[in-house]
Amino acid sequence: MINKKAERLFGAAIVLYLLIIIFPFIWVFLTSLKPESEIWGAGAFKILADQPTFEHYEALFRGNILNALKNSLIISTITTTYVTMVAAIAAYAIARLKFVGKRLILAIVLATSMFPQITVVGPIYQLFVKLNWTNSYFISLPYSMIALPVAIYILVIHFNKVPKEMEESAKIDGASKMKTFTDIILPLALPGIFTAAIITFISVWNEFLLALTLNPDSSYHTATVAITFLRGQFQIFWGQVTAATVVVTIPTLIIVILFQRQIISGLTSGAVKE
Amino acid sequence: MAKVILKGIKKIYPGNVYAVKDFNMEIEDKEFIVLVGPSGCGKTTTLRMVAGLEEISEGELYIGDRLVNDVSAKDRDIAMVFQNYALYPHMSVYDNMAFGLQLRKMPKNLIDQKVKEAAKILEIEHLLDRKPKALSGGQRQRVALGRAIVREPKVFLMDEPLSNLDAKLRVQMRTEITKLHKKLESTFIYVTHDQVEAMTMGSRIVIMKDGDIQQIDTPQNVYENPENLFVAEFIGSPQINILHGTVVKNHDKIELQLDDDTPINITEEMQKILEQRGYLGKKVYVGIRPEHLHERDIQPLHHDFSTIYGKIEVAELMGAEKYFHMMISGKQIIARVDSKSVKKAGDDIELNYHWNKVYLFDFETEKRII
Repeated sequence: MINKKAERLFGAAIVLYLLIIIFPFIWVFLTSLKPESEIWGAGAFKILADQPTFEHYEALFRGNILNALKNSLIISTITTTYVTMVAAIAAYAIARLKFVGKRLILAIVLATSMFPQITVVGPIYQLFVKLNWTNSYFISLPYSMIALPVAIYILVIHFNKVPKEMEESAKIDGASKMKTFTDIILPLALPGIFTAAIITFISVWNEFLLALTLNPDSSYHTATVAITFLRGQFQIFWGQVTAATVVVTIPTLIIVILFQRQIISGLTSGAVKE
Repeated sequence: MAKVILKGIKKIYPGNVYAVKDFNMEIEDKEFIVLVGPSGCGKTTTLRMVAGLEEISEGELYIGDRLVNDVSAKDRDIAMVFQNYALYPHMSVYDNMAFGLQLRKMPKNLIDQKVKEAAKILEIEHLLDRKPKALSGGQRQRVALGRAIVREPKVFLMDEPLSNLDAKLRVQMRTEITKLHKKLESTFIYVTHDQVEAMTMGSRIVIMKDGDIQQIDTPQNVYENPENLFVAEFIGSPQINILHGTVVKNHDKIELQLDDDTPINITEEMQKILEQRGYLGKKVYVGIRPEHLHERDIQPLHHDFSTIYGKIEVAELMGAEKYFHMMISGKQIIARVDSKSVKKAGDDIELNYHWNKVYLFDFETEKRII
């Protein structure tokens, strides 16, 4: 019985924890529906606004946010596609091919992801200025550099999980290396591919520092940068900032909810007897 | 339908590790060859070299009349069944079986025909739309077999295909694979560590140890005429009883004296051989199979036999027979007797054996003395 009680207590603790985590987001959402006059002062602590309004959203969409969302979407999609493809091939090589220095390569790949971003911003900015790449979608390149190591690492783990016999069987069946990769390995590592893609997409979507530095022109602002520009000379438009936060969060939310189903860990069950 | 010839096949791993040392064998068309041995004996490596999954370090491999050392797996005209089935989990049973044919650009209607034929042979027609995870172990094994059958290869390679099945299913699939071999009339090479599978399925057995072939022969010959101690001990269940004996001369008769002075008698022919080869005074291994120890009261022998005495430590009723475990001359001995025996643990027992059922092995080389 003690176990049941402990279980319930534990469950309650988790719910409480989740509430604490999600509270800021909920509050941002509630604030975004309050007129400017209610955001500050006595009305600030009210849960629901006396006069709920969509004026912040309207103001937002009259501004630059749609363009920024478009930029974010394009850059995130390019980066995700590129990273997933390159990571899949690289990870397959690391997972399956026999060559000298395999472990070292994986270690170096992982190590590159450990550099604090702030230390690489400077050199990358210099490079972009020289190449005349600032204010463009080329920002996908440094993004992929940041996202690749993690994606490769995730995929190596997933490729290693695919039994070797599966490939040998395909080999005897007459499949080429590439065919084996596309027809056998990739489908089996699909949960890993999705995980890598989602992590990449979200990390790019949420990235701020490089986006601010490399694409200072407002026509190339990404959503995260655009939010910080929601201010006048003497004030920050908190209503619009909160509305923008909500808008920017929605795509990632949708993606996670949509693709969550694809991450089925049980996909390989039944393939081999464990 | 093809011969397989292995000429001086070796597998050498980096660091001069010999996984397979000089494997020589001619496998006739339509033979059912079983490679058997304890784990690490090189049997699977040999099979994988035939399959083309493992490079051949030295030697020549012919399938049919073709030297295939440098021919890739897909072009060797072989099919392989893996221990863990290795079915493609994201494909239906049908697609699993059709995959190899699709890769060979076979017309769709022909693929369909072949898959259905194979499914019929294996009685899995009703499972064609299912995914592997919705199948039982036995069904998965059938699909794996089906995937091999549709290709109509010259040689079937099987790597412990039954070891993941439960005991009952294993026996059933064993006979089915044997039937399949008869029906398909092609060459089978089958790897197992289970000597029962080897004995029951193989037309010839290859017994391996540490990368060396110990003996190649028919199951019966391997059982009755093991060439060395290892083969004698590996084949047969329960294992052959092995005792240590010294060759002594006792009143013109040569016999074997066990460590506790129990005499073991042998045929006159054997006595001559021992004397001629100078074994007098030397130690030898004495082997008697459990079923050649007969309980005097139940199954009396009439000529050319002797008796040893033991005290039963454990009696196991197996149904049709009983196993008596005893200590004789400091060694664990098993006698396999008729279940009519009323003896039980703690009883003294008299066991008869025919002189010609005593196997002798050289103490140094472990080769059989004949």
